[in-house]
Amino acid sequence: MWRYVVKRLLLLIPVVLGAILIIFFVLSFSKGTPAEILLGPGFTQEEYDAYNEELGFNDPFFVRYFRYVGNLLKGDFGTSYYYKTTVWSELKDRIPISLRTTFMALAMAALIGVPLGVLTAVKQYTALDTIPTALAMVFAATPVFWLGMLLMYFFAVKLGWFSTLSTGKFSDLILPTLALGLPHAARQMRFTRSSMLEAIREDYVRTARAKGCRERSVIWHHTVKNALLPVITVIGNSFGAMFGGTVIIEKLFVVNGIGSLMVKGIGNRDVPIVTGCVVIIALVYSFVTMIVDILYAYIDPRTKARFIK
Amino acid sequence: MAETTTAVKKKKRKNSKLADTWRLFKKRKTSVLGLIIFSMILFMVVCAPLFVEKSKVEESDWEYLTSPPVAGHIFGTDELGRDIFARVLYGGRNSLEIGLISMVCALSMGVVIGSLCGYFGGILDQVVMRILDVLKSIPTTVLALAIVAALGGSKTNLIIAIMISQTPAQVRLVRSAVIGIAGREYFEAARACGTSTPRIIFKHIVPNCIGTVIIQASMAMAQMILQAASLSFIGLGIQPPEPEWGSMLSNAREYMSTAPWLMIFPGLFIMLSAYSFNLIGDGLRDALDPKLRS
Repeated sequence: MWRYVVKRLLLLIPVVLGAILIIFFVLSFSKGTPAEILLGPGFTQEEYDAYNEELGFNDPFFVRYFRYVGNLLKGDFGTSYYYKTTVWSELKDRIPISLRTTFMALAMAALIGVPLGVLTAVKQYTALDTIPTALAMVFAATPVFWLGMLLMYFFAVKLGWFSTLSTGKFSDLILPTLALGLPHAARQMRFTRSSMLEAIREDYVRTARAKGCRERSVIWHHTVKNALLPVITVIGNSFGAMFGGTVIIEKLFVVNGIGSLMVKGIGNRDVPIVTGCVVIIALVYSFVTMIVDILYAYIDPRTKARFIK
Repeated sequence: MAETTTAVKKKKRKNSKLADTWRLFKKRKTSVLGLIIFSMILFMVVCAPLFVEKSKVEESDWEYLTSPPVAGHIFGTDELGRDIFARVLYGGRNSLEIGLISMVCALSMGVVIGSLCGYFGGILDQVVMRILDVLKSIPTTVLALAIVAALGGSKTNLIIAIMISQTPAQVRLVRSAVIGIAGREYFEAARACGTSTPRIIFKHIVPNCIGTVIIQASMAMAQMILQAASLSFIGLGIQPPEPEWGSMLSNAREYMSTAPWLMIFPGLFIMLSAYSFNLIGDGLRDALDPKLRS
């Protein structure tokens, strides 16, 4: 097992380096050099050249990339063009905020989606199946920001249960969590349902029934256990999509997280901030994916057997 | 004479295959509903001039500023007195166009790269798969956002961003479909007979993959419409005053407490479009996936 964990940890390095390379490459197409943005209008050519030289902007692409990675290893994300502070000082308080929203939404999505998926599969072709399935189709097609706006309108503006702006209180997190989580709950429900339906038709379930197991035992011990394995991967993938989705939700609910920092950074053409945000998002996402893979290998005896000798 | 009979027979067989697909698709009532919803949206958007003149999109009606739905403005008006109905219909042209073009581009890239990787394997496959692993570590919304941020907000850049961020998923899908076929007996048999590579690709791989690709096209279209709307919502994408469903919602957020109708209609159209494509995709899966046929 440890061999697998170490292997996965080592695999994380090239992936993260590659992700930084891609982001660096994409953002190198940005219009305007840092000097243009930092100096503002009305600068002389000498000032411009000196500034670019000082920032090392005239160096070749790969030199700048390796310098960035080198600095990153020391925990230095560079300096923001707009705030004039270090990128890390902007990032460090916002990462927990976004992570909290994402994990809450993930927990909610899994707690609603997975049990409903099991229920609809067990009660296939009854009203308990068709109604949740139809609703899930609607939620899976709803854009998160529109769902967020509707929730905000009904629960904050009309009923006044929550405030429309985030003030840092726990109750302010409920609406963003719902908006972020519900479409994923729908997706997880649909996936769990089809995974369950597949498992119900397996030979070992037929064997269990033939042995005379009680229906409850057939469902819980033979079907659910096996059907939920692939669901773990889907929940892991949801994390990435949700963490990315916070960009939109934080803008809507004016939450001071990493997503709204990134959107502001894009508006200010603050390349170091945008790079920093994407690097953090990619790092966290790769790490979570790795944990999910290890968890999967640990739970699934078939994968586990390959690594334990 | 003999030739014409074979031609007729061939035509009949082709027709019956299409009819077969339609018969299976029709069985699922929700998919037919999806087709109806989408046809209606498409008709309204494409034939928008039948319902309302194009000039209404930017024309202000000063007597009706931020007016709720009334006769003459059936979806209401915004803070500048512009007709929401006209903006939703003409804005839909932008939204659906972005979704359609980026879907076709991403899927074509997926088909070309995915089938090359799946068929030839080896170093090419290894290299592409590692690049995809890296791309997978950045959430699609964030990647698309970074691309539009670098290129600047416009319709073309939005399409490029969505296409690039969605291509990896399509490549993986097509690749695994091709690998699945390459493991089948008929494929082995064709190779053993000495069939040429192009013939194997066009006679065996393409016809067997086409179902997967068509199903995916429908599902991907729903994803792309949602993605395009969210990027426009953030303000990257089509720039005002040009209408687009996502950017209309972004504007509606400011007037939420006083003018909720501003957010209802554009959102409803985004949702219904994505919903109908998901339903159609489900129906196509029933009709085209040979695994489910038995």
